[in-house]
Amino acid sequence: MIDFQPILLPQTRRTEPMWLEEYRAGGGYAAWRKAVLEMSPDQVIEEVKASGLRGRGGAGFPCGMKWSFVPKVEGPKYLCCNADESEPGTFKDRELMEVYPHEVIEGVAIGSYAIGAEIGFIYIRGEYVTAADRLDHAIGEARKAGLLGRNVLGSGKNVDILVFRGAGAYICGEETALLESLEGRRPMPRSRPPFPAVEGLYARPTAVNNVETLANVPHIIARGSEWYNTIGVAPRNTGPKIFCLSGCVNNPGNYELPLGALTFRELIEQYGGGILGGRKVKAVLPAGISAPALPDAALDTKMDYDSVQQAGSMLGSASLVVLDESVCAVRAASRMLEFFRKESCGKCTPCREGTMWLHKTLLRLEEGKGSQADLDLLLSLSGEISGKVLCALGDFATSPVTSTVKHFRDDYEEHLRLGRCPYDPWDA
Amino acid sequence: LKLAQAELGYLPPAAVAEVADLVGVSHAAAHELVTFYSMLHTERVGRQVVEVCVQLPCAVRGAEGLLRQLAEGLAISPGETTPDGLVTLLRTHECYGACHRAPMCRVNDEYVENLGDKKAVSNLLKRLKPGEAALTTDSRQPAAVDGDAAGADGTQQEPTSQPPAVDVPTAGGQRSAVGGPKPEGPP
Repeated sequence: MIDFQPILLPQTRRTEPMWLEEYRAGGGYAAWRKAVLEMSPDQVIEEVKASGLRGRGGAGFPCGMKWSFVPKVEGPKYLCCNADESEPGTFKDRELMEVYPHEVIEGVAIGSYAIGAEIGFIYIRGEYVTAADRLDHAIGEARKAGLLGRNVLGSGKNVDILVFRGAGAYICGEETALLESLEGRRPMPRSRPPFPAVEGLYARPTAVNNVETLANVPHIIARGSEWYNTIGVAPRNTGPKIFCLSGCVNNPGNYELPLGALTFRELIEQYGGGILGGRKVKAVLPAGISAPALPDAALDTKMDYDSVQQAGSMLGSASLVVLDESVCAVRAASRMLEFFRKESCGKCTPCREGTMWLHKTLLRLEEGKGSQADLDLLLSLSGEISGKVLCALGDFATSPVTSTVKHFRDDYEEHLRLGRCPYDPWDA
Repeated sequence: LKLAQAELGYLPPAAVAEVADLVGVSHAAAHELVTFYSMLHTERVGRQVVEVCVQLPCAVRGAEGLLRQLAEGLAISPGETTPDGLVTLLRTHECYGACHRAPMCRVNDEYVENLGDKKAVSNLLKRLKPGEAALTTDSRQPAAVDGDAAGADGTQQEPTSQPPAVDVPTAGGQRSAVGGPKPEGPP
């Protein structure tokens, strides 16, 4: 265990919401006051740039730089907070919104001010009813207190926030699909350029940021980028990160730690309480099911964006799904591809057809009815999807396949040799 | 569309058409939303929709066993509704962001988590099973639903009278406490 006081989720295991009075008593909205009354939008952007804050939704793009891409033109601009948290293994934004709704709202408000938007949307997945209700309540509190709405805190600026509830579609977490959904159309990703910064929501300049990213912002503004740079590994991996630990560990949950402070193994053993039944780790999926699986040999990798990338995967949203030695790699890959097959929006042919064939082939292999040629088919199909689609979903869908074939080929070969799955069924 | 579903329990074609006319989009534009989103139903579902997540983080913690126990307890297969129309059981590939409390399911809008032991499951079954309070007066017809496309609706927790499918009331009725889009934009 390391000595670190969580910043974003200060009270571990709290489930009850922190409403306005308590949030303000702990220093909440001081950053918003400072930003809107004492800082220019450019100063806010520069401070966030200097903090090194990178997008916590998965891509890790520098937040301040993203904001600086929004052109300074007249007319409406929008900030969209991406709360469509749907990546399997990810449950950090849910806790942020359910327990600390005002922290998220303060971040959205500051971000909106920084890019010159008068309206910030929070696009939340439809299933997160509790989180959405609490956000709505908290926004009401903030409006009443003069923290949102017209002439915020007497600054002459107008900033308001609206919660928009989705209706069940993973693809809405993709930023341009999210915008389509907000506009009331079928959420299919747009081709880029133009990028949302230039032509986003209602064809106006728009910044789309993840919940956790925006929750960092009030702390950066309140305490300064220099302080922020002392957390994590400066300059490219600064700040706290919420690690969602799930799968075959004794103590799954959200663990907020500085980026790069721990290795996968340290998190699993020191915080996760080790593996169920004292078994061994087989694989870790570092970013939900979308990033390549890493074998146990990579467990001593530090958990920051750059280190995980060097190890051949992605830190992404830092949703660690841990698989132990009792889990069949072929079945796991098949289950993950079932997800991508059903969540592919269908716009790009390689993804729509490719995910279907990948899933079918994996099912065949898992049942022991596959052939050696199927292994080659998996890899060639993956190659036909990767890089040939409009959004990242298609690329992500190939990760479970290529990484399991690479690291756990023995599992595939064993299915072929035995004509059946050598592992116990899941419903035992 | 969500408001219409809140009233009807699902979205028959006539309701979708009426919503489309109300907001001024083509019927096709509305239909393609209904068929895209998992929380919008094109078929009748039970009063209580039970969705069991079987995606990987839940699967390695007993989600398949949970699904089997619920199916046995309700005497239906995943994707089916009990003959009295009270409970629809769905196996879903979607992740609901409760992997740290797996296995889990959603009952309408409520997260029911930490269902790893048999006692928790039997408690849930007791709650779901017909004959329980407030659920005995339902007259909804049973209907099978497509397990791939269906999901829980956000607004079905309050038992309401069930209008016939052909008689579509206007969608501008009372908003429920939960769910429903902001007036700024469809759906």
